[in-house]
Amino acid sequence: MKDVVLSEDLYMDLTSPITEELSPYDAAYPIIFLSNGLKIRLEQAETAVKEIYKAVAKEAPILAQAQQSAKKGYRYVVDATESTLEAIESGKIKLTTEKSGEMFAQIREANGYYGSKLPIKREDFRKGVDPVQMTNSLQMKALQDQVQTIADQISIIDHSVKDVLQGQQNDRIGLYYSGRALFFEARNIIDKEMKKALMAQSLRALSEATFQLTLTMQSDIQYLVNEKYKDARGKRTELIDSHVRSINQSFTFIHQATMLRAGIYCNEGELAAMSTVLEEYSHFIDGTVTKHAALLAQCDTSDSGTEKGVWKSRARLKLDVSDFTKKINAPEKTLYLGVSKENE
Amino acid sequence: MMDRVKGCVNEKCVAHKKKTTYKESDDYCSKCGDKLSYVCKECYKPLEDTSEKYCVRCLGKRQDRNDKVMKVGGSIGGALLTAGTVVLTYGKDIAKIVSKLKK
Repeated sequence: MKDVVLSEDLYMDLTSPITEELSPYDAAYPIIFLSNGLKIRLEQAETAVKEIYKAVAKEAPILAQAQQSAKKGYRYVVDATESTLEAIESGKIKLTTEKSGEMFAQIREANGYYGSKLPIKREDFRKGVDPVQMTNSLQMKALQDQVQTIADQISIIDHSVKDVLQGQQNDRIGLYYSGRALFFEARNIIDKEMKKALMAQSLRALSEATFQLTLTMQSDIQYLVNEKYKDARGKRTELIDSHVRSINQSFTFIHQATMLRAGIYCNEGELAAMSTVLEEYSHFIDGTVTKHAALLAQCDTSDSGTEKGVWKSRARLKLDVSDFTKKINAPEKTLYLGVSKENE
Repeated sequence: MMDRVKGCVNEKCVAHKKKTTYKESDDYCSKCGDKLSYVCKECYKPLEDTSEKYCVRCLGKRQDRNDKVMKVGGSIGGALLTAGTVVLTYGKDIAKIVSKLKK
């Protein structure tokens, strides 16, 4: 596995351009994959906001004129009302296209013949925008600051787990590697059904790895909490160190597996599932790490024990994720679009 | 408990970098003015439990050291005891052999 050296001040800046994809075997892959997924979602959100702005501006000509007049002085806007659209549907107004591709409107006169041609331009302002996707994107846009905060917190943790990744082996870690391999294979499969099945298997393996490692980590922490090392005369330090090594190892792979799962969901556009994964991670941090952060800091030689130390930084992840998850999973998502009504 | 020490936990402070220790009666850092915390006497890590002098790992290390001293002491004591028993049992014979050798 290639070692990745990260500088102290490396944060996941979601406003920066999408990072070039790393080798899948790179230790930084899960976090970069998630970061790129979040950047794509935020970009989509930006586009959605622009689309909505266009739609609202189009359907509210007065607003559009007011906005335009500030820039260009004035402009004329032809506003097709609901009755005009009905007239087009019923054939009272005919839309014709000439060979040049230019579109004209012709109004049927009293004698039943169509009158002179009026040049018109078609603007599809809702083209390609899925309202549900748009709502999700908007939610994402509204939470951009929180997403950035979460990304920063994750980066701090990610930085502290990189050096533990080298040469670690056991059956639970094997499950993580299996899930990761299945995901890489799934990405290269063309058949949609097979791709989905393999992706689901990958997510399952990653999830199982996470929960098995969580149990291992909890049992190691409990060993330290219960001071079981005290019975081994002359070997206390050795036992403390070996359990801390095991805890660090479990935490590292739980983190990697979680980031990969969140990244998969984010890249598939499943933002609610991504937030659930992050929420589970937050609960795990809260229940397993935060409670024992002070003890772990005292036992871990690589920790300074201060608020900026390894374990206390990890313990702080909980706050913003829970807030973010609450908002992204909120049942009421309302998208307000102005629709012009004919003046009666 | 006596002998506990305080320290500055502000990572940017000189006192923290130099691991300067303060008396229990001191409340604020003389360098940066931050509130002082109880720290481990050996590794300077902040202590949550203010009744302790050492952090978990340093306490374990000290106990290990004591165990080793006791073990070494025990071995030396055992050796001396064995030597003493030998002297008591065969003391007269040894003295005779030594006096013969001197002549």
